Amino acid sequence: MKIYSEKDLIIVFVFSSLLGVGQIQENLKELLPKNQELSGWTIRDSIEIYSGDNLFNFINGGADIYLEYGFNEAVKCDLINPDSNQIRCEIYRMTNDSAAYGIFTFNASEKGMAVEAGNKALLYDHYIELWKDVFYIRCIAEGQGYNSTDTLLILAELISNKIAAQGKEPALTGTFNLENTKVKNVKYLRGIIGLNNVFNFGHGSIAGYSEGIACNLDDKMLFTFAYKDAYKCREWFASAKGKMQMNQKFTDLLPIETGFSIKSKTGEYFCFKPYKRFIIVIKGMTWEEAMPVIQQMERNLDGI
Amino acid sequence: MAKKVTRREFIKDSGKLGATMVAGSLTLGGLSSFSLFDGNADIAVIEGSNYYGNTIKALEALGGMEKFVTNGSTVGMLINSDFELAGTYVNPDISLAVVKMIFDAGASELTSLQVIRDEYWKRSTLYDQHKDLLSRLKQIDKNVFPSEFNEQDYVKFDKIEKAKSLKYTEVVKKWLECDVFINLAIGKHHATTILTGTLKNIMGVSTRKANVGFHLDSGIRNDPDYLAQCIVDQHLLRKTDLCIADATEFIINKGPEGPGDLKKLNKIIAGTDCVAIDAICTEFLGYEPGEILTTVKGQEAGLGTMDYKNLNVVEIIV
Repeated sequence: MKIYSEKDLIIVFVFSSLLGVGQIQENLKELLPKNQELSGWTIRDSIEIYSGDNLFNFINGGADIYLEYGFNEAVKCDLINPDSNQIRCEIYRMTNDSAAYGIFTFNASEKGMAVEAGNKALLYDHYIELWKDVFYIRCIAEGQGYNSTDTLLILAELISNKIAAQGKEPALTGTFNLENTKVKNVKYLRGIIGLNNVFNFGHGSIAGYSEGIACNLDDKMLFTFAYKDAYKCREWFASAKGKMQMNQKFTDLLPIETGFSIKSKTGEYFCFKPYKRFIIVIKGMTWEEAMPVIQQMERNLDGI
Repeated sequence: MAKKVTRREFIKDSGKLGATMVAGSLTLGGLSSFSLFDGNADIAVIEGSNYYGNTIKALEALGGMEKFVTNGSTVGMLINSDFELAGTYVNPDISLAVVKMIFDAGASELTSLQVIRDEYWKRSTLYDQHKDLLSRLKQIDKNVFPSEFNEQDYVKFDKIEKAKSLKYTEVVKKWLECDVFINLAIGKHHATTILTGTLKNIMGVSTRKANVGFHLDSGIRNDPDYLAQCIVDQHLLRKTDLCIADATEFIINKGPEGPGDLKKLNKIIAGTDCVAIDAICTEFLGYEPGEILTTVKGQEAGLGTMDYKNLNVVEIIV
């Protein structure tokens, strides 16, 4: 039996890593439909590939949010059929399945109809978005005179079937498994840009978290922010408390138990409660109304 | 007829005010309803489905294009046109109306500071009627996404007086040289700045390298605060003489590229105060002006006021 030295192993590791990078790029292109793989459709012009900060040359504005979630590379092509209808296909390889899930939820709108493709997919009037494993995929139809919806569904399935791995939703989404309650519009967050698009607590008020989750509960909103550890969580909780108190949009800060409630100038209550390495925030409930929900969320967080 | 419309009246009672204006128009039997105005509006908000005609009306409410473009002047125009999906670009009917008004006012030269593709103009049903006019429109051919610096078209700045964050930029020379600068923006969603309005649109005169610096050079990656300050700082290089914002149909999420959910208000806004116009667009988008960092910082920098209730805002529904 041959004994490999540490040096040998390092060389093998580095070489396979380099090989892996090449394969990754090739594989991403392979996910796109080939000519006539989608019957009647061919690739128009060339396939474009972008990676890292080069994403700014791919997206004319809006690259930041992909980078915030964690972006590796993207590939784009335009498909065209004999009637000159076009479909733009974009595949984004994010840094992990949570990042891909996150950008999918960020872009998800209630106007989308849930359809079977990938792990989750939403169909809109002329485009489809889906998440599977580390990939976020978007196909946009242009032109009229054909059934773009059916074509988009077939295309989504075609691409999805080429991705073997499934990927998982982040564990934090389990926070919102509440008894007798159906939450909507779940958004997985990784930073300030995502959060600002959900709700603006004031610049820098909620910061430092490694991941977060937000959803609607009727006209209320629930948030959970996760920190590296309980100590960091307490630090950021204290910072949030101070910044909310200084924010002119809010008034009547009231410390309760380990948390606090505060009222917006429009009369809406917000409850903040630290729990282990998490901060739970409920918008639209008084402390008394929020407590049963917070307790359920705390129990769910115990399972993470 | 009340001409000064306060913020609260404008937002909450716009339906009532609009009804009054419509009645006025009908009474006049097809005459321009702008006989109702003295042309001294600070901001005009025109609502209706004739985007071309309403753009002209918006300018009439401000005193006419001649107030901004004098005979023989050179004009630089920046249109947010380089997007493909509905609600992500300025409706070309609005742009065509502006081009026509500029030439009619006697401009000796009109330059688009960014490349405008033919496909953009062809989206307008009025394209054929304006072909000759468009043939007179010059453009900075190299300023197309993702644009790169060249000595002929751009100028570098490594110091901008009174700038708080922006340390380096590369901008189209013509932007600084033209007699009149007109900014045509769309009030749509943007993931990082929330609003792409007239202030954000100024990134259209700078190279990709400069713009990427707005996003990444703060030391904190993807910092919305730094980006907003850089946008405002770039405005310190040159005052905008006239702003026109398209709020006819715009995306309310997934911006700036889309596809996103559309909101249709059929409104066109014109004025000289970029900050005030962005504040109005922000409310149309469903946010408070104070939530938008470009607007807040724009006011701090003296570019205008987000408290537009103190301005002479005229709204009409036609």
